[in-house]
Amino acid sequence: MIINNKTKKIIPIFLVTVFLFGVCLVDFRQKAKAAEVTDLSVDFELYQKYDMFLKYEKKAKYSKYKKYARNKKKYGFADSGKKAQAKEAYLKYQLYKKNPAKYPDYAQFYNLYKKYAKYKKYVTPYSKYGRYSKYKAYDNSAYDEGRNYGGAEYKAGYDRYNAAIANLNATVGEADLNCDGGTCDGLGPDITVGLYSYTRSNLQSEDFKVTANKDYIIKNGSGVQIGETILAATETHVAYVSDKNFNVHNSVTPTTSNQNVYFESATPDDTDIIFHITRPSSSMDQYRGKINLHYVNADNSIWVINTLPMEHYVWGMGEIAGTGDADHNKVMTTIFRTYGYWKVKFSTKYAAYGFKVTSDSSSQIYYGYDWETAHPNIKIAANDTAGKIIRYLNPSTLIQEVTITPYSSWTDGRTRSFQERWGSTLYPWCQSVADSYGKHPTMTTAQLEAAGNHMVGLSAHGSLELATNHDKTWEYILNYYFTGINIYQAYSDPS
Amino acid sequence: MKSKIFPIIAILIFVGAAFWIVPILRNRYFNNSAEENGTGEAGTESTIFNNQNNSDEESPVQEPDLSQVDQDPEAEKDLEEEKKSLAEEKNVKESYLDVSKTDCDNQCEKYKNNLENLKYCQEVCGFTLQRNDVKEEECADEEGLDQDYCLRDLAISKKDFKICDKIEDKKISENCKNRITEDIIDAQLSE
Repeated sequence: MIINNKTKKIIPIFLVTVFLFGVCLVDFRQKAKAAEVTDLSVDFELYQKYDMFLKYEKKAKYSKYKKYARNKKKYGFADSGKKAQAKEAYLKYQLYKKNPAKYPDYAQFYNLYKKYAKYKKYVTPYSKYGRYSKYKAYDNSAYDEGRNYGGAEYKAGYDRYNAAIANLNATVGEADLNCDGGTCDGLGPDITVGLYSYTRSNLQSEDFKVTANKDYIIKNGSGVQIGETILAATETHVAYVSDKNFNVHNSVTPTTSNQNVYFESATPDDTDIIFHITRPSSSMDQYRGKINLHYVNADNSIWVINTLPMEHYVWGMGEIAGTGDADHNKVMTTIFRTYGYWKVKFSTKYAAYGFKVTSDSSSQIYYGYDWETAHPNIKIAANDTAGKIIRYLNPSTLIQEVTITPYSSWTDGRTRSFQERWGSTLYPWCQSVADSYGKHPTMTTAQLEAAGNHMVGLSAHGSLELATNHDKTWEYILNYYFTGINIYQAYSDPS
Repeated sequence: MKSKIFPIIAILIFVGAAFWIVPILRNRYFNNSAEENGTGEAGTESTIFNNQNNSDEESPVQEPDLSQVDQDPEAEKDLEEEKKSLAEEKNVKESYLDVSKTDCDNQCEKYKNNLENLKYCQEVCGFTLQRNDVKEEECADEEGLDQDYCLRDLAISKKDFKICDKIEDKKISENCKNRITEDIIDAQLSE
């Protein structure tokens, strides 16, 4: 085959052109593929890889910490006192350097001056990395692979995946608590209530006594059943022995149980059992759900804890008697439920004691089954609003937040924002609103505050007035006092 | 004449393709490095050194007279590397571990084989009692998560949300704010 000179010149140009087209074609195909690749599973892969990159970054941060620790060991001070002493010497030697004639005595601080100068030079720039000691777990070469996944495409997949999750959150948001095992029949997640406590000597001198309206079982600290099923109305006694050990007796052969004793229905998922306990100094002795005697390591107290579904908790609320307008009762039960839900989700205050809320006014007052039967309107209102809680769509995160909804009895004609009263902008649904409905007829602002009216959020008398004399619905009242909220069915209506 | 048409068409195609491909190649191979060398570095660096000045208390004096200080080659090398890596710094809060409600319900069982992780989980879940006698100076002397725990206890004892913002760890910071809210609201309920 004969190739002339012109053809020889054209061939390289042709080949380069073909190559460039090839590159373009590959790029087009990648873009087309990227457009197709929008489903969550692919983004999840990118998310995982970018997440690995973030771990690699933590490893890198730990490397910085190591440098900090090394320099601190070499140039740091034994304690803050010695550091302060060196700093003072440093300042004095600086004065000497500026004016040796005036400060001749300060020449002696040269060594400390040098030591502190080194500290400033080699330790101070790294001091912010002291906190990266927490990334010790990432000090592993396995995370080095992550360095390859910091690119824009991984970040984009990571962001898309997070956005998809946020989108889901926009529906459920923080109201994502599930019933235990999914069998709570619309009664909501369990809440643990600290009813009251014993000292060790109290429970040595007097037994804790319990019966139930139905057959029940007893479990020891390891969750193993003690004896047989106990027949309804049979009384079980528990005494404290020593070393976190309880003695369970009367209804069973005396048995030792460590740290905990549990009482629950003999029938799984039974929601009708009511335990009767002999509560010292209180006539409120009957409680739905489960009872647990719990030894608290933190302060050696022994707590009686009632675990029950959220709706049953609301039925036993002692904060109101339920004698007011039905819509006011619905307002209050929705607030009680929201408070309980927030506590289950976020509370850490009593975590060391093994429960989320107390039964007294340190949390919301909860009197249990005795109050429930004596004040039936509370249960009616709770059933009318069953499962509903108050949420707020945070405009910056697009997350539906479970709210905390403060209330007080009266106001001086205006509610206060959370920020105005307590200095935080975290709860923007608590804004100041005019409140002629809940204005106390005679008391001044100072008198109201002295009586415990913080005036943030709902005004209870305002709610009652709006429901009773202005024919306002419970939804209207909640939206009046709380700004930008939405009422959400967090779990199914039991009816 | 006919023999010139083919090379002319080829050149036109080449120019056209080159015009198309330059942005693609630039995006693919040169974008990241351009960002890394951009203004972000200077911005972060100034933030770091501002922090440094803040953290170095109230010193009215100038920088140390380094000519008087013996040079440490290893530490000098670290300083150089430090300057280079400042661009990677991010000021977004993150959590040490993703402790969930289930972890708390299970008494942090999942973390029992690693003491530091177990402690973090217990702190997040609130299983340790908060100290009410914390002093600010104590927290300044702590570092890492211990400093965060210290600041959390300080914030709760003073009911001061602003101290929670100083906490580096996201979960401890959130936990701090929620706990103050609990204390405030519950104190009102009990009045």
